[in-house]
Formats: sequence, structure tokens, C-alpha cells
Amino acid sequence: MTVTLAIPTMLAQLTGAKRVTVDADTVGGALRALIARHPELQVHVFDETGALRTHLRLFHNEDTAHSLDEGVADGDTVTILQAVSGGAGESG
Amino acid sequence: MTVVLAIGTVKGGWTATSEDRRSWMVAGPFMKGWEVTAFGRSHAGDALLSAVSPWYGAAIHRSPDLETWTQIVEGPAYAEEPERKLSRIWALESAHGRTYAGVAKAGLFASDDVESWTAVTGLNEHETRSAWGPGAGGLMTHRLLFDPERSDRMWCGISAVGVFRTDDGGETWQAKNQGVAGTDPDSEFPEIGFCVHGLTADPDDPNRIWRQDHAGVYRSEDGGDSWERIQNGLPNESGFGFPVVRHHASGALFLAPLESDEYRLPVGGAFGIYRSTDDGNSWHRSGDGWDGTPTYDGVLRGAMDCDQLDTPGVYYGTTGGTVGFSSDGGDSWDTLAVRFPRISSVRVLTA
Repeated sequence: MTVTLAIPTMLAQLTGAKRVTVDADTVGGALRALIARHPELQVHVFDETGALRTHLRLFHNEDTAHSLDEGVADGDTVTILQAVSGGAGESG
Repeated sequence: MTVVLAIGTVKGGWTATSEDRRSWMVAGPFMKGWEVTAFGRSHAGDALLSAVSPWYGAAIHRSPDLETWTQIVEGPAYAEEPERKLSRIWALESAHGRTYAGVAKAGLFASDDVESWTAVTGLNEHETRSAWGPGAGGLMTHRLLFDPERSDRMWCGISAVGVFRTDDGGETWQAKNQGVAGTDPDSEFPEIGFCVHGLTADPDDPNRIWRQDHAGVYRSEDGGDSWERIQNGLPNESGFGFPVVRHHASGALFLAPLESDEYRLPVGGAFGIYRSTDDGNSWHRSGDGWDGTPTYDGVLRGAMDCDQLDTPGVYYGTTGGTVGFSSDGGDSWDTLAVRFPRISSVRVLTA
């Protein structure tokens, strides 16, 4: 299936594009295909345990993607969304 | 001599370049939108930076020319431990053919090529680890010192744990905080629980170390085995502050005192860099060039550096986004004509 990934602005600095097209059968497969092409994204999308980072959400077309195993159809869009949270951090 | 100053802020990095240390050309931002928490050099000479986003985590980037930056794909990372995740990289230092990264949650990683990293387990799994706790800024390894003559000997500073030293190449580490105020003597590990902020050492005698601690300013003459308080002349009774840097040829020391840990403000709004020319025995507000405007900015741990030219160049960045500099060892001060975001790191990368 040809799937379009919508990339948030900060990560598009690494991909060079805000929309990337990959071949995949699932939401997780689309992410893996993206990371295969841009391996530096691994640490930014997943933490060390392999879990999706806390303040990211995935959308499959217009709806929340409930699982990385969720199937995708030809022409679908998977959006990596920077949640409106998580802005706090450590200080120097 | 060209001096390149690297400036890391909560929203990206900049460089300031000067031939005379008076007029500066500012370039950037690079890593736009990312907090740049530290700069350094790999042992092979590439510039390094660490960048982090609260949403996207932390990574190291390398550059051969300070213009193009490439992310290290396999950077430092803890093994799959849900309770210990790497959130930020606060120190990038190289010595004896290796590059080290000090990180939060507190830990140390080493690399021979900066492309692959291994945990320094002698420190990361230290017998006192269960009692390590964060300060206001978190739990992180942020200062690294090396013995220029001995590759098996180094020091690291961890907030809010203290200073550790290894004498066997990182296999074992001993807490080195005796004489520093502020711990609970009845705790399970009374040798830790100290919030070190800044460290600098004399490369000609690495046993001489100066320490800006949460609890004040200290000096060690024995590699950290013991510490004595040195605050004569400072404006703050607490001795509180974050960075301390040293110009090695002259021995001049510089720090940026703040009123106390509760307030973290320059005393009376009189921001200034304090200097010692007698190894820390006495301190004086250095030079002129302070405009007299009440200023309540602070200087964070990694936001001050000193070049090693014959006449010291001293540089600081503030929480208010000002970069100040002196090209005459602190006799006079000026500021860059650019107002940056909150500054996390300032580093002289070439001089």
C-alpha cells in the first residue's frame, strides 16, 4: 500500500520534507519504513524501550491510530502529531 | 586568531566569530527549535552539540565546519530500562582518544568514534545509585574533568549527587565531596547528596580543582579528596552560583554569583562576573562595562567559558538571552548586539 506520512515541522528538518510516501501495510510498518529511510528519526519517535514517545500521537487519516498494528489502505495518510503538552523540561 | 563562540539556547544554536574579540559576526540559528544543551569537540576534532526537544528526545550532532550538522544515529542510550531514560545530554568532552557524554538521567557514556557509545557502568551502576536524587534542574551528569597525564584518571560532577573520581579508567568511582556542606550525615550514603554545579581544574596540576557548588565555592588541592570553602569577597553569603571557569596561563578564575538557591538572582540586581587572580583566595567584581541597569539574569551551569589566548577572553550567556564578553581578562565587558532566547550553553570551540 502506498501511504503518506505527515511529518511535524521539527522532524521535517531531518527528513527534508513534511510529507513522505512509503510502502506499508500497517501504521507501524509505515513508521518503520520512514525510519529505514531516515534512521536518525528512531530516537525521536520512539524511546529506548521502543515505546512511542509520550508526547507524540499518531493519526490514521482523520482518526487516532489506536495501534501500530492497525492496517492501512492505499492512499491513506499517517500523521505524526506533536501533542499540545510536554513543553516542560529540565533547566541548566 | 579567530575565536568562534558557540551559543546554545532553548530554541537553537548560534555562532559568534571574531578576529579581534571585539567585533563579532553572529550566524544561526542552527538546530532551530531544539534546545542546544552542550557543545564540545570529538577527539578527532569535529564539533559536537547535543540537542533536545521535550517532545522528541535528545541526540548528538557532529559538524566538520560548524555549518553543516549531522545527527549521530546510534547515540548514547540506556538499555531498555523503563525507569531510566536518557532525557538530555549535558556534557560532551574528549580526552586521551575518547569522547564522553554526560547525560540525564545521570550517567556517563564513552565512545571511540562518536558513532557508537558504551555506558560507563562503573559509574552508572555505582553502589550508591539507589540514593541518587535530582536537584531543581534534574538528575544529570554535567561536568567532566580529565588528568592530562593519566588516561585512567577523571572526575565527573552529578547533580544532585556530587563529584566522583576514577583512578582506574572508569572501572570504579569514589565520591569526592568531603568538606562540602549540605548533606545528611545520617543518610545511608553520606558521601553523596551534594549538588555540584561547576568544576574547573589546573591542567598543570589536575589535583587543583575549583568547584561552584549549590552550597558555595570550594577548592581542592588533592584531587577532590578534601574541599575548602573560598568565598572571600563574594557578594552572596551563600556562595550560590552555577559556572566557574579558569584561564590556565594566568590562573584567573571567573564565576557569576547569585543571591541564594531560593532566589537565584544577582544580589541587588547588580549582575557581574567575579574574578580571582589568587587561586580563589579572594574575589572581586571584575572590570567595568556594566551599564548599571538593574539586571536579574543568571548564568546557567554550561553558559560560561574562557578561551586560552595569552590575554583571557571570557564569555557568558544569560537566562535573559544576553551574551557578554571580555577580551582583556575581565578588565572590561561588552555584550553582543543580539538578544537570544534563554541561553543554556556557551563554549569556545576554536581559539
